[in-house]
Amino acid sequence: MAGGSVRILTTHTGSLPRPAPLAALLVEGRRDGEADQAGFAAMVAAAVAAVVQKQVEVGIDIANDGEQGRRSYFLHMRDRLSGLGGSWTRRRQADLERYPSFLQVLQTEAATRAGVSNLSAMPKALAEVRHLDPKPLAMECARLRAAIAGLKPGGLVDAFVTAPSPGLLACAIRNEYYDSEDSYLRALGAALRSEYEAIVASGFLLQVDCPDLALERHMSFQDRPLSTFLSFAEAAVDTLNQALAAVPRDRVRLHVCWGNYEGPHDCDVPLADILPVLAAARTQAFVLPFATGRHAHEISCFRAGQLKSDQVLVAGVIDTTTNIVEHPETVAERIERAVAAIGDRTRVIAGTDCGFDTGAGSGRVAPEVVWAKLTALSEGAAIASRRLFGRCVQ
Amino acid sequence: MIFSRDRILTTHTGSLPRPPGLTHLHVQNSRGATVDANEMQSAVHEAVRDVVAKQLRAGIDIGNNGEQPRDNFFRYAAQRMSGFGGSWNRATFGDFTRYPLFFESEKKRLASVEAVSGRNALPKAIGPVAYSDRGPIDRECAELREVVAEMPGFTEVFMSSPSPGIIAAGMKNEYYDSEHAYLDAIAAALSIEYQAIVDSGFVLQLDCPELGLEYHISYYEKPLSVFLDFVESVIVAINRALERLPRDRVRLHLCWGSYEGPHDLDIPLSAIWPLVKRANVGAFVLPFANSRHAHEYRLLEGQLSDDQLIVAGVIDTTSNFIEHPEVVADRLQNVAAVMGDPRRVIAGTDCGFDSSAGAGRVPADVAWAKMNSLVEGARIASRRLFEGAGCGARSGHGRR
Repeated sequence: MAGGSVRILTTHTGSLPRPAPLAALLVEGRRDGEADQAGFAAMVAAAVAAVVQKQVEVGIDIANDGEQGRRSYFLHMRDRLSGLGGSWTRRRQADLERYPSFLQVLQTEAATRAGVSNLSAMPKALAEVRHLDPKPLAMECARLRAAIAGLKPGGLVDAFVTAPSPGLLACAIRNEYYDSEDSYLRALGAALRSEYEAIVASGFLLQVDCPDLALERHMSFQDRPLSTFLSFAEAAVDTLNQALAAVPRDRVRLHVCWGNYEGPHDCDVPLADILPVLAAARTQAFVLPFATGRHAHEISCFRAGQLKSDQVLVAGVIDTTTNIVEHPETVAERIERAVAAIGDRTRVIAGTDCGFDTGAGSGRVAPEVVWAKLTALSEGAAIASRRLFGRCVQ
Repeated sequence: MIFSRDRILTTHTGSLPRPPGLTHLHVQNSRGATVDANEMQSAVHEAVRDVVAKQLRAGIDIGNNGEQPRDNFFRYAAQRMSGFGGSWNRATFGDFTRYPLFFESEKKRLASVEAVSGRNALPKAIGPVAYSDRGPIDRECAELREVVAEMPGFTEVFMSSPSPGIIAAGMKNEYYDSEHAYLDAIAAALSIEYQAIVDSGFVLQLDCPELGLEYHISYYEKPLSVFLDFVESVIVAINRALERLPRDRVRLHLCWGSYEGPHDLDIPLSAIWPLVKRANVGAFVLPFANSRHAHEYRLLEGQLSDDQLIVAGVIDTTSNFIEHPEVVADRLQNVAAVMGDPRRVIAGTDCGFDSSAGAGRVPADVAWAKMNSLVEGARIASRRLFEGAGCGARSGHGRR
């Protein structure tokens, strides 16, 4: 994987809006891959074909299946791992507790949408966690391959499939079985290893979703010192590296974020604090959010040359939590800023801050606005490409 | 108007979150229910004092009464004028129509809050328009003077008032022969309010959303020239209404609507700026925080006279992300670089936080945290722009 050599390439962070009937079934708890779910499987396949086609139409170069068949960006693992059961509700983000009037607004707004929650009704680890079943992932990969096969040749530069990090699952799925958090984390890493390897073996880029490396600072670790969080993050990265040991580094990108929700975000840990930990990850690219007013300035963290000379930055230049459609000129300016910070136009890819529908049906951005935003992304990338690479493109 | 002589001064665009009790009274009042005048007066007074104290605490230099006495940034004015009556509903924003799924979710949101409408049940002009009742503006100015005398600390005080154009667009003309005659009549009437504000020692902020917003409400399906004719006639009317006022006491706010939405039908600033710049004002208050218009600050290069300031919107009033002070500082430095002189840059917000009582998406606790970020960001930018070498140079990078 590399950035574009003649222009700025475009991608996004994973989840895309699901058709309403599909989202409703996922909210109900329908499982992808169940034997008696032929109708459901056909619905997912149709959604994937449509979402792949649509990405090509709006000018996305590195596309995926929009996570159409998954309940959320990590809850599909519930059906793929052993030892999970029970239920618990996660403590909410520190900034939301700090602004009670806002929390009320958020809850009122959320009540107007039925979506899969990534906070409540979370499973727990009640027995040994192992990877149970390679079939659901194989089916996902086959579906994506089929959707891509239906495209005209040359429509895509590459395709990616996401998988959650061990650290995220360790935080979201409470351990009630292992002696220590560390042995739980290591067990999750071992279980996820086959998932990672299967994605890359299928020919796809693997995107590991690691909100644990930023978001968990103001969730699980909100009452603890920064150093405790950083030790956790180091262990999470180390575990991830072991799980990735057999995967070629140039087929891995790593997404880190502070939570895909509109909110104050003033308890977010600064990127500068976590970047030294992230830098140890065995990945060729980082997928990071720079579109919001809370993290836009942190692109300058890369001026000091924290990335290895072959590493790529997928810079989030589209805010996935607001319905304002970014102006292509604003997008171009953000891309140019990222290129100035990295110092190499071929090592920056234009992306989005996070997914648009990280829990099925829960996204705040209306589906048709999502596609307008992705169009603005590719238009902005084209403008930036003209300025950065000269006129001889496209 | 005071320049940012040795540091970037801070202000905002007018409306600040109202307490729920006051919002309720405004909503009742705007729906024609009887509201006890004393109850309203004391609720307003308490809210004005509170909002002044909060601005001072946040470190706002150029403050106001947060529009607490008003139900909405322009519909209140009809109650101070004669000639209005009846009722009509304005068309919705073109970008809402274009994205029906978004529109549907926005309707659900609005149904869940108690708010004054800036669109529905607006009055129409059904007789000769005149500024018939000076009482409310005199009381509003006196009250604010009294409160700021009691709580000194603002470098300057401002008060907003609607442009003739937003009244003409919001209150349908059913009386005058031509839109020009209607605009002229409104301008003559409102000049009394403008004068009263300046006579009170305040900076007058003219709220002119129609110069941007009106395009995607009433004109987007017509040739652009029709809209530009409207803009031109509004600027002529504004200049006439301002004839007797020193231009350094007037700032003009232009925007594309203070709402979260696609905004992809918004008219580019470049299309209207050649007309807008003819307004005889000392400062322009423009939104550069939201990502639909963030890039347009570049257009200001070499466009203003030496005596004119820019109040740069660096805080998004429709999003609940609290801007990082470093992001605020970056935005200010960008604008200062284009202006070539940081003394002519004031830090502001994209629009009001509650331009129709209760309708704002950003609740009070987040709004005030955003104001804190504004002040802190202005402080960071000031250090770099006034103390560092090379005033006006972009120096926002590589600081860590």
